[in-house]
Amino acid sequence: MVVLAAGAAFAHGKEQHVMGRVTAITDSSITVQTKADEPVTVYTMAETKYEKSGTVASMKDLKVGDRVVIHAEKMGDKLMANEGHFGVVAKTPQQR
Amino acid sequence: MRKRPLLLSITAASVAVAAAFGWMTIRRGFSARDNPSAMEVYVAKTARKLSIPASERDAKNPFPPTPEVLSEARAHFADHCATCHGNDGSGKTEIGQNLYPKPPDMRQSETQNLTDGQIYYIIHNGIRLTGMPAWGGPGEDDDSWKLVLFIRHLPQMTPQEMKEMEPLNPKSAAERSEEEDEQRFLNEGKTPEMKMRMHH
Repeated sequence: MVVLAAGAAFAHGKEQHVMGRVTAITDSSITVQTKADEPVTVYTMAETKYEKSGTVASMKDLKVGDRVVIHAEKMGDKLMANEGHFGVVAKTPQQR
Repeated sequence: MRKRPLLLSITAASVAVAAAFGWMTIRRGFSARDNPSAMEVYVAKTARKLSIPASERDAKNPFPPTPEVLSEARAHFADHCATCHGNDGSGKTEIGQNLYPKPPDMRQSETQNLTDGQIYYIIHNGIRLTGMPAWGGPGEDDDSWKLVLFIRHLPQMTPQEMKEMEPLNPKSAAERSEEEDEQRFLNEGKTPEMKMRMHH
């Protein structure tokens, strides 16, 4: 099966935003196929927050094949996930 | 007559200690990445404590911690304070961690043991030589008192409350655009073009 890879890694200060489809999940990592057709592995931490469709979720709610946006920070040679967003989301209300 | 040489010696020693402290401080550099030394923390905290008049220290909060007041203060904190202090008050934000001194984790006793009056005074008057500005007008300001209630609530914050604060955090046009790209990707699978942005 061809995985339709999508996404990019955006620099956000120290944070990178990794977007794509989940291809593998372990107890401590999520591998994402990005638009560049590269698998990017992001490591999870106890402090990593998850959000599914705008509500608080856990890593268990994430499945292989899901579209995901991970906000991660480089620590040494590893990307560590601060937040993982997945599921359909309502538009964020614009402030002011 | 015998007291004079002693006085001169004490003065000379004091000047030497002050000069050595000044020299060491300068040699350490002025990078905001560092943390203040224990001596600097002690001197600054003591000076701050002494600077708050007793009447202000013992002032009582005129607002009760009702859900409405807390909700208003939470929104205010998200908009005005969270950039440095974080929505959870931990101070673990990009700006917060690069200030000198770093903002305290307000959930901890260092902040929670202050009186309501001391917290109000710090918000309302700011703290010189730190990143903490003075908020509100010259007179008594209600918003700062309401923020005191929210700061008291920080140790009991729920993930859902923090989630509700996120849309209220200040964001640049570039950050909003990036957020929209991400939402579009999650909702429709449309792939935004590759972009590299650095936010400083």
